[in-house]
Amino acid sequence: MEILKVENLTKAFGGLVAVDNCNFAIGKNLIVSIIGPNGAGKTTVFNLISGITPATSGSIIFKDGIRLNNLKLHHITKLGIGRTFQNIRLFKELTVLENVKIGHHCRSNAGVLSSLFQVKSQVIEEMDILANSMKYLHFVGLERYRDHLAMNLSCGDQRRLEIARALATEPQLLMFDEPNSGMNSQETLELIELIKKIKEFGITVLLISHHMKFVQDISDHVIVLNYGKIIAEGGPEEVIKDRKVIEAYLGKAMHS
Amino acid sequence: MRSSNNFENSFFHSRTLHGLLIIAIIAIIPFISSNPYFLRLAVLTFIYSILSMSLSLLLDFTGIISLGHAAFFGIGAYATGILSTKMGLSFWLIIPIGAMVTAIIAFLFGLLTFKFLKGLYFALASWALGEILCSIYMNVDFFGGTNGIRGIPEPAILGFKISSDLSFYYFAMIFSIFTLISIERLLLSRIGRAWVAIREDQTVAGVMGINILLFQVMSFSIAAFYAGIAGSLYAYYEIFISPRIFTVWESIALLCMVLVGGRKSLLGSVVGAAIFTFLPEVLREVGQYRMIVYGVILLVTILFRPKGLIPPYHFLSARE
Repeated sequence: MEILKVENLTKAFGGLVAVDNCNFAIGKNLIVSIIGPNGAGKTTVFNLISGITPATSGSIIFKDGIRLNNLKLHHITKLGIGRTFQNIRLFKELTVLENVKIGHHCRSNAGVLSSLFQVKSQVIEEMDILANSMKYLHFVGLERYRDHLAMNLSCGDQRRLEIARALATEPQLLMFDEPNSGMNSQETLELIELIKKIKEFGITVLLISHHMKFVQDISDHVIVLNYGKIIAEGGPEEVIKDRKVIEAYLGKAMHS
Repeated sequence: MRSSNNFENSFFHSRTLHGLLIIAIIAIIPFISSNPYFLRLAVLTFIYSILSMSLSLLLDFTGIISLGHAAFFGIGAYATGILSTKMGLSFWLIIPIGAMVTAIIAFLFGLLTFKFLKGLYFALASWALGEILCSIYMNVDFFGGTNGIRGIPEPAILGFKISSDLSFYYFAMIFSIFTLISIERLLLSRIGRAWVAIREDQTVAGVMGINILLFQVMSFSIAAFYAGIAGSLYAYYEIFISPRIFTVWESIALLCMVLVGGRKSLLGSVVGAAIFTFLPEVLREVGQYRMIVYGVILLVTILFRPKGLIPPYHFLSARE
């Protein structure tokens, strides 16, 4: 049973085809990695799924046939797709707690009047948001920084905060764009634990990385992209032995 | 039961206490100095503080640059002028109707423009709206043409007419405090968080599930609602309104108040409103060079205190 299905997906920026006729499916409750050299189109695939850039052609199907093409960003999030960014995009001037609180937006519904008069349901909702935010901060280990500005956190902590913020949107599919970049090996180990726990919550994980070791340690399934095309797909062990993958990463062997 | 623990509770009380103290001091001021000239400037400060706080909501908390705030001020004033002189409605009806009409016009304008325009392009569109409204006021007889509207009757509460500067002082003060408290409540809620997220990064706000168009339009029309209230108060206080008051220069003066007073701080906007109301009167001789004085104040502030006179405080964390 798949949670996301991509059919003939193509994205062209002018003459440059960033994603070229891709077909793949993401099985429910797995950790799936998209790997590939720089410029392979990995982040573009994420932007297409999350609705940041519109697809040129093809379709993206979520769960039981919900077509995501042409849906607004907030609508896609509400359906249950969350993500983080390669170049960390936190609300830098807000505190750690506020960042996570904002993540709760689409799962809460206080309006202008109930906020203005602070009616009972709004006050209760705010208390729930606070409690849930603290729960997510505890999960990623950032509780003690709740009142710090996001921009003052270390790079690894910023990545963890992005994960907490994305979890707050209560996704069923969570996409991580290079979650381990800028992390040392200890932090990477902790991150692997964290992502495995997220999987245990019943959340499907789709992640981008170009660290082979990281991908091998964490993935159930690997999709390899090169020049916008899928060149290999399968379990992490078999994909890494694939000749085309080795060529894409290391260049063609010289045959004399 | 407002808060989940004692720490927040005690803080809430101290905030309330501080607020009440400030209100008490402001309420006593007219007894210390009953100079009518001073009172007049104080009333104008209250009215302008409503405008600057609502503009701050747009500029500092939603990241929308608007050059049309004076236009919404004008809609409130003209609605009051027409409803009171031509229809003779009481102010209990006029102030909410004026504010609602202003908010609805802003809502329709926002719905049309935010879909297509961003940043400075939106600012130019809002300027155009102001110019269009001004030329309608000038050229349509119904709005009194270049003469404006005269003889707006003073508001009355239970037979007590609000006509003296002293009574207007308290009348405007109540509305100014209402604006401060209500905007602060909105900013501290889910709505305010969505606005600030849009200010920080629109794409990420969208990824957080925030309907960007809806919340921009909401912010714009709520700000216009307050501008409409300020317009009503202004019309009642001055008795006379003219289209020349609500031009883009007024919008720029309002932006100056927000920038000089302090960004990301509602109290700063009030201080800004006071500075730009009192200072030109103190420097009366400059007369027509008013905008130059504004420019110099703005320049000096931006150079030496880029964040404004009142330091920005962490608004959304205020409760923690």
